[in-house]
Amino acid sequence: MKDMDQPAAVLLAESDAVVAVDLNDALAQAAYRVVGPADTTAEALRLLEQARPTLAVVDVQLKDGRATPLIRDLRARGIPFVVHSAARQDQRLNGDVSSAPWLAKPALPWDIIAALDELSLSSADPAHVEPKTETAMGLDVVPTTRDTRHPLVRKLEGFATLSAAERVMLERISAETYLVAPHTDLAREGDKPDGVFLILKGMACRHKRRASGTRQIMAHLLPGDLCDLDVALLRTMDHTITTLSACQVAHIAPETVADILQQHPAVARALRMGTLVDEATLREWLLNVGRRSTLERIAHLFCELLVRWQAVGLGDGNSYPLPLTREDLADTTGMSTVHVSRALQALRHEGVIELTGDQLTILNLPRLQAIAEFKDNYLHLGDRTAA
Amino acid sequence: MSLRLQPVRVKTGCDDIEGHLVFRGDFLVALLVRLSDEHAEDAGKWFLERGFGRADHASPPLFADLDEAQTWITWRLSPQR
Repeated sequence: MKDMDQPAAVLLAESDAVVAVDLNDALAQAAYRVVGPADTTAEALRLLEQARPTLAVVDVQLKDGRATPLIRDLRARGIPFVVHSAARQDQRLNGDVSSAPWLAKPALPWDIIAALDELSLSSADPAHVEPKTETAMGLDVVPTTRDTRHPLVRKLEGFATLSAAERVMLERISAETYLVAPHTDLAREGDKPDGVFLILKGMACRHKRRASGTRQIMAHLLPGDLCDLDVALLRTMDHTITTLSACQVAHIAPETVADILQQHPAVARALRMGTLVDEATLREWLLNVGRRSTLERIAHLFCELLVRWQAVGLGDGNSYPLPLTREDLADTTGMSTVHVSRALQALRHEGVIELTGDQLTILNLPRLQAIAEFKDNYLHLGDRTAA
Repeated sequence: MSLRLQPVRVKTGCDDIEGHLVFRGDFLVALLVRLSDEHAEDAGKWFLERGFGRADHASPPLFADLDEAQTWITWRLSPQR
């Protein structure tokens, strides 16, 4: 947590003067002390030695070349950093920034600040004296699975029988991953679609915003979920995809998607089944928002998430990660945060659920299912784990 | 036309029971409910439980006090809006 008496010092290494000024202002407003900005690696290294910052925002391409020496020095000193770069994530040629949160330039200043807040929060935790960024980003909310299969492979194998070669292919195309801070847009409404995103850890969502800023979440994306298989057919995105928690994400290029659909019929079939389930889930959510009461909506969502976490082998009995705020739940169920709080209280008082940090435990599943009239048929799980 | 408040107890199913019916003239225009301690940082704030007609809103703000709530409702009801 930021110590208000002594603002955290952030090294700003940025090649673009205009971006540097904007970020400098935003960081100062968010009560960070800015060290720099430095537009070269040499200057950044000097400031690092001199001013001893505790966090950094780094552009990987500075005026005197790649910032590799700077990144190495930050790693050596155990200083957590956020990468802010115009280079595409899948153009990252070496592993030196893997596991650092990566924000595509130009990122919204508050996205960068959210990422820094997250890093400073975890680096202040004495349990993380040697912060491993993956843990520092809160990805440890996902319990270790007993099933070691890749989440996409596990999901698709529920829909089709895959060959060993196909499993390896799926793992290969999603081997290059990066970490994204919570509340970061992966694709924005109005953008030209650019391939698909695969969520490997954490939770993301699809949503749309009104001019007033209020939003409706239309889908939750869990590990193994792909964002928009056929999106390349569209000229612009009609909704936004945003991380809810810290996420580990792979980006799959449109050509790769097209190639898989043509060359691997079993995988293509399974992917299309996945799309049908997404549509079926959307229909169920529409029923939820239109025709279920406050309590029933929340109960239904919790039943569905249990089945979905279990289906990718990441549920722990009747317990699963729920890294959502009350606002996220309100925007998912189309209710006010007040109604969400009341529903959560009612379920807790009745001994139906228990919420501990980011973990939801369902204590009385038959009761929760009865409240929601939950039937998992729309998830088309076949003989897989059912609630 | 100014608003008139009438205290009322509301069966919300939880501890949020203190409320006010909000009238303009003899028309009921809104129901405000005070949030109980169950709402942590929002405890003590006022929630637009229901707004009628132009005071209806899909995602109304929380109000720090009744004055703030009445200002908002008056603004919602004003014909110039």
